[in-house]
Amino acid sequence: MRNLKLFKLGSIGLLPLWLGLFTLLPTLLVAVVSFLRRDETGLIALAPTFDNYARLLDPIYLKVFGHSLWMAGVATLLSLAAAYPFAYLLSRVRPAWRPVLLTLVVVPFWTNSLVRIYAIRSLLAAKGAMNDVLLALGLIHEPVRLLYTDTAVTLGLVYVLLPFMILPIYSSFEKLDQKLIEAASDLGADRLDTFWHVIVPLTAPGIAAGSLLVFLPALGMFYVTDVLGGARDLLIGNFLKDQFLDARDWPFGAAASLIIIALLFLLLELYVLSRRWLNPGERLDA
Amino acid sequence: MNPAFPVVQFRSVVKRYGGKTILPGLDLSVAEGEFLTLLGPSGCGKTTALRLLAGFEAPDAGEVRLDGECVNATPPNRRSVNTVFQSYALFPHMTVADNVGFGLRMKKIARAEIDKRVHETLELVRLVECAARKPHQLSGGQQQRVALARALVNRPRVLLLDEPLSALDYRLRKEMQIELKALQRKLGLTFIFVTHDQEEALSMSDRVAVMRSGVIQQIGSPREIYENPANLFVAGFVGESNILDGIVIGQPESGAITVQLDNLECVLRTDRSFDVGDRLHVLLRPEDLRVEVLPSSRAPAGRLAGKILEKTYKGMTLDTVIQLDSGRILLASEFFDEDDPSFDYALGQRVAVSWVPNWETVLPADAEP
Repeated sequence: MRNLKLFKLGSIGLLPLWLGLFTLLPTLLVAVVSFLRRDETGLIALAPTFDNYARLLDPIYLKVFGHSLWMAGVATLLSLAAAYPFAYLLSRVRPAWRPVLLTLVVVPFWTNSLVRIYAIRSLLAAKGAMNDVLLALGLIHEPVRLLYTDTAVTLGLVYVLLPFMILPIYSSFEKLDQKLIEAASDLGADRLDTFWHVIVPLTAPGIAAGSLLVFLPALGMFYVTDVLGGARDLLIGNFLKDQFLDARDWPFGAAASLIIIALLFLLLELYVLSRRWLNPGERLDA
Repeated sequence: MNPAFPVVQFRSVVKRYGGKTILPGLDLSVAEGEFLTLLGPSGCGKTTALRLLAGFEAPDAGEVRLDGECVNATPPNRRSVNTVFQSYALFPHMTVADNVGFGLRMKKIARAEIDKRVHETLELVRLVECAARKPHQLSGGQQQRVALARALVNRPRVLLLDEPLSALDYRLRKEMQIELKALQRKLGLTFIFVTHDQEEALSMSDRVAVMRSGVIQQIGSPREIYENPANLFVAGFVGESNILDGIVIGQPESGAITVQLDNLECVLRTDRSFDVGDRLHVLLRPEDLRVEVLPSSRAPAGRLAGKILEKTYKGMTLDTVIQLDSGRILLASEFFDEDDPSFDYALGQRVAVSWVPNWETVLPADAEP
């Protein structure tokens, strides 16, 4: 009996211990560092300050943040536009086919995303496959610049993150009771009415979850801009990486990280609120 | 408006799924203001018939007519019929009032008019105080009434009800049966009700259509269906019945036959024509049987003899299982007699079984089992 109790306590206790050690503690360290000064020799000087946050208000950095939010927003909307009809079709195909198609969605994960980004790079290069095809089709007469543009970065972000949009939306389509669609049509709703008044609200949890899962990583995927973007197309992720690894300004990087974490919590809270508003009875376990 | 005018007509409607024929050719007319029930076991095509009328399915052949017009190609949203679904299918993200008002909003009716009609309909189903709640905050019975209100508010030509009471517990189901019937009378609407519960069908309907394998076996008033079942299937599906096999041995006069029934020779009246030597079935309802204790010394005298095999106390009735001397099993259901409170049988007791003359139903033996 006593051993069982110990085992229960131990195994359940492992979880907070793990989270505390590897999530909470590092985050707290980042929070502490963000209020310290930079030291030319030892990285951090033990002198409290709000300077790091004040510096973030510099227009140059605000521009980086703004641009990054914009890119992540565009990538999220494009992913949504691509994933929504796909997820719908996925939920409508014969049940026997679904696992196969779902596997195909997940297969790209088996390859490192950095490798896949390099693959896109070679497709978009001046002498890459894309230009070859466009030239062969006669649509262009000389290679166009595809690489090192915002478009290339957006394409890379959408390509890497699309499955994160598809899966939650698919799951909410799967839960959608077909009878509700029949009921809407029975009550006089045409296809468009049914879509806006029944299908969209009931798949909104999936849309919200997918958007979070695309938007947040899209802020930080520095290697996508590094490989596909130009020198000026910074994401917040690039900025953070630069501060920690290149500029060696840990306190400033920590302050920026904390802002991102705050933004993340804000979005998560909005997500919880939206689900509560849409489906008050539903528990947030799905 | 002519009360006998058929609002709904199925004309040789055929429906197949994959290679399976669900409805081989359904013909059915439903009159204005009628409460018609499609009764049958699961898979008999009753729900398919309803879905064809609602427009969720298209017939493979034949015509579905609504108010005399063929609606085969009309989508559900342009048919003036509304459905109460078995699972209710209430929109979980909308309040009760928004659920009920959905149909009217789709018709782009003015806001004030919608509010008024939603309120009226919620009053009708006694749910005004729940208007602002979401479906999941309601009990099963309340959800059922919201589903009803959501359909009724549109004032459909025909209301389709697909086993709407099957998810409710026994008492609530009984209450809703009475309420539904009262509502239908009050509104004068045409109801088409689908169920596999024969008791529900008999207690609510003006007419019952008993279906089997997509074919209507019999259509008529609950009384006709119960008292004069057209075949053994109807008899067996609607209420309990005892079936005795017999053979015609004589024809004393027209409309009457002498039958050797089990160990009993008796004269039965029937409108059907039989020849001597024909086999037949005699159906007897358990409540039509009369059981009397038979002293072992006496012969049954024109009655069937047997012994009590089992007895079940049912409150209002005493139900007995009787094994006839031929081995055949009969069910009998007798009301308790106020004058004889000790009315009871002992197991194994010898009894004689008779019935009120002419309460039996005679069917030819070649009728489908």
